Amino acid sequence: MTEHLLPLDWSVEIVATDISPTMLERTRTGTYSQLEVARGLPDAMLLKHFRRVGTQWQVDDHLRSMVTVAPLNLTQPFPARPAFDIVFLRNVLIYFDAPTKARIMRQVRQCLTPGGYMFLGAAETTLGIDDAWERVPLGRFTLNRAPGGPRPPAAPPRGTRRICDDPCQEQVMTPMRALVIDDSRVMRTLLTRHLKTAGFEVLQAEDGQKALDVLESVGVTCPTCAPSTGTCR
Amino acid sequence: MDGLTFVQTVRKRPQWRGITLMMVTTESEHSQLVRALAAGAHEYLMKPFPPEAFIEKLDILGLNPSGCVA
Repeated sequence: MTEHLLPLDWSVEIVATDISPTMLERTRTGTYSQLEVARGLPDAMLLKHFRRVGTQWQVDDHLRSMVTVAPLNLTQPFPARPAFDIVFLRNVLIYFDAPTKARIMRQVRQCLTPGGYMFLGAAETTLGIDDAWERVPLGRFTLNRAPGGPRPPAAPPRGTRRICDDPCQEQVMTPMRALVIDDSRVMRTLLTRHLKTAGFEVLQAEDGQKALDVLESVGVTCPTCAPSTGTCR
Repeated sequence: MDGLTFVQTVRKRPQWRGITLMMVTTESEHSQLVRALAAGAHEYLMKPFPPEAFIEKLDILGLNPSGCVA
């Protein structure tokens, strides 16, 4: 999140809480097994933010310096803290009955900034428990937004992504495009088929040089690209 | 031009920063793969792979516009 989603001039503070002192200590050391880091963490993120310690992986010092670890019992009143922008409360409410869930969600709402977000687990919902949340669909997920605050920008329709922010114009939308590079025609055909199934428009190149030529000719733009492309900031 | 050089070349161009790079490799190219990831590739997939593995990688990268599942 720190590298993809936040404005560059934001600083990030993370408060990690648990009721268990053992778990708090583990969070403090930020050390995880191969199995734990292999569950959905992209490889590039692993290489970038973790270092190998024996058979384990440890979160690097920079990321750990953003984290404060604190004990918290969700069923008790929360201690006063500066308001949070986002609260991740994933796969923990399943352990509580409905009135307790409602009480916890209310407390989370009170510790968020107006319009702040709460992330729940895939099988968890605010529906019928604490209806003060606004449910905001995002892809296959639903975010829960606390009341108040400025309106968030509308999410792009499915199958498109925002490629360029121009402060003077409407957002430019385009289908997602993939370039398959492989010297084997069989492999190019196979990958192209998979990508088309996933909704991509697909281009092909048989080697790296030809691929660079394709990138040049299609005029790739990106959200924060260089001034030379004119319309992007 | 090998995969690693391609990744390095793409990553040198600021206007191509938004491009997501996925390597499709074989076991024997492992050391080159690690260098490619360090140079700015986002993900890799080891050949041979079932279609579900490919879709799963797209999901991890947040690049599955059709929302199809593995």
